[in-house]
Amino acid sequence: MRKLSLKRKQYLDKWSRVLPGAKRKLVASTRIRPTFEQRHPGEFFAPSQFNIGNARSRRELLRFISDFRQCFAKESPQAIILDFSATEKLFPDGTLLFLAELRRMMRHTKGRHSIRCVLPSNDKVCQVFEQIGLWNLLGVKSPAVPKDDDVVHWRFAHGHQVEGQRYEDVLSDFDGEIAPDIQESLFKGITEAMTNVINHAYLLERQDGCGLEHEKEWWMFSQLKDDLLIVVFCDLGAGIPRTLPLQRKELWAKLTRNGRASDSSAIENAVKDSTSRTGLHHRGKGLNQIYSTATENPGSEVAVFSNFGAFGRSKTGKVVRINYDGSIMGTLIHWNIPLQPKEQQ
Amino acid sequence: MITVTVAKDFSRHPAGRYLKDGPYTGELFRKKFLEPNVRDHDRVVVVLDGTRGYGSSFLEEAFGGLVRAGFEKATVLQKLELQTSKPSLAQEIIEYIEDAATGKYAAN
Repeated sequence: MRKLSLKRKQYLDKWSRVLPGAKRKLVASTRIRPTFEQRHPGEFFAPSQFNIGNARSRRELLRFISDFRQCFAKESPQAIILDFSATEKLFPDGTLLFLAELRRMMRHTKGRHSIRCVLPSNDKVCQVFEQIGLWNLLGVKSPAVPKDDDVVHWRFAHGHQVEGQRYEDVLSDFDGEIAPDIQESLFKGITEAMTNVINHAYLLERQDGCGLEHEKEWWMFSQLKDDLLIVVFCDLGAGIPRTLPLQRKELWAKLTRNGRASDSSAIENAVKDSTSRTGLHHRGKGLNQIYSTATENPGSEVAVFSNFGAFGRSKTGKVVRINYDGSIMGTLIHWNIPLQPKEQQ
Repeated sequence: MITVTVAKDFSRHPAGRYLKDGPYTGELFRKKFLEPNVRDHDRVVVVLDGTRGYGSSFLEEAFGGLVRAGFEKATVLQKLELQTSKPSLAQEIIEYIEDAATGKYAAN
């Protein structure tokens, strides 16, 4: 028989102590690899990219969020380590989703857990986390001062109501850079998104297994980068595909007549059903008004992510429908609006 | 005649539908400014310019809501004078009033 190495022996000894008697033989005789969580309980590794548009990055981000959310939800105090050492790139959509989830869990757990961080090795990521208040939220001494052009323009807002004045928190700095029509269109889109959150998004319990009480919250980012204004807005509610059957029963019956409707199809139909009967865009109701913020401004893009699906419009006007294998458990709206150089306004 | 300037008398950031939604909603504007003034005055001038914008929820609840609150469509249309640099905004409001009278209203 081959002699066990010291490392292997220590490993088997450890697991034979942890597992109940009936399983000890199994562990000793087979090469069972402990799961990541078993080896590092309470330590969670952030992905290299915070992005919900790319399928692979989205899967990694959602796994990270789901893992730390389950740990935060535990009743007993946990020692949690969030390791950002591998994080290299932050997209506004994925970053907002992460921040919203973390803020929600930290508020509900009220300091029950101890949280430590492994800082990002990427300086830009450090700067953005400082700019959006993450280090302050986690009680980490700021490792970087925001200084880069594409960092200092990140703005963050959070609320529990339809508060039009919060528009100023994220967009007033761009007065003079955004054409008045675009500003008005964005104000409509953002306030209608807030109205949807307060009246529709939290109608059902969130299926994240945490059993937390509803709080009708929204979160918002804006970022100015290379003359492109990016605004993202999200809630952690039930998602359009789950609330649609309650809100628009006839539409849902039509959609599911030939079987299950995909989430992207549910979002698309919810947007289209909001279009006015007369077809005039100024008559569009809530969700459509959110969508038309992009269609009214040439070269703009919009994407509505909700649960497993996404529906949107590219800058060339192409309609985009995507279904992913993981749910964001909520709704996130992403607008990209090109700004004209000042001299052209 | 009475003049109500939304941005000055109410808010530069009107938004939301129902009172519970937030601080400057369509229902609040209707109850505070539109209902009493339409009841007590022959002409109500509403100056719409000067705000950041108007979402459909705010407008529908403020103006379409007048009809649901019991005011005759014809009375509302006759008494209200909408002052705006955007003709499409006035047209949108008139359509909300007309739709409310025919029961076409549906919350978004």
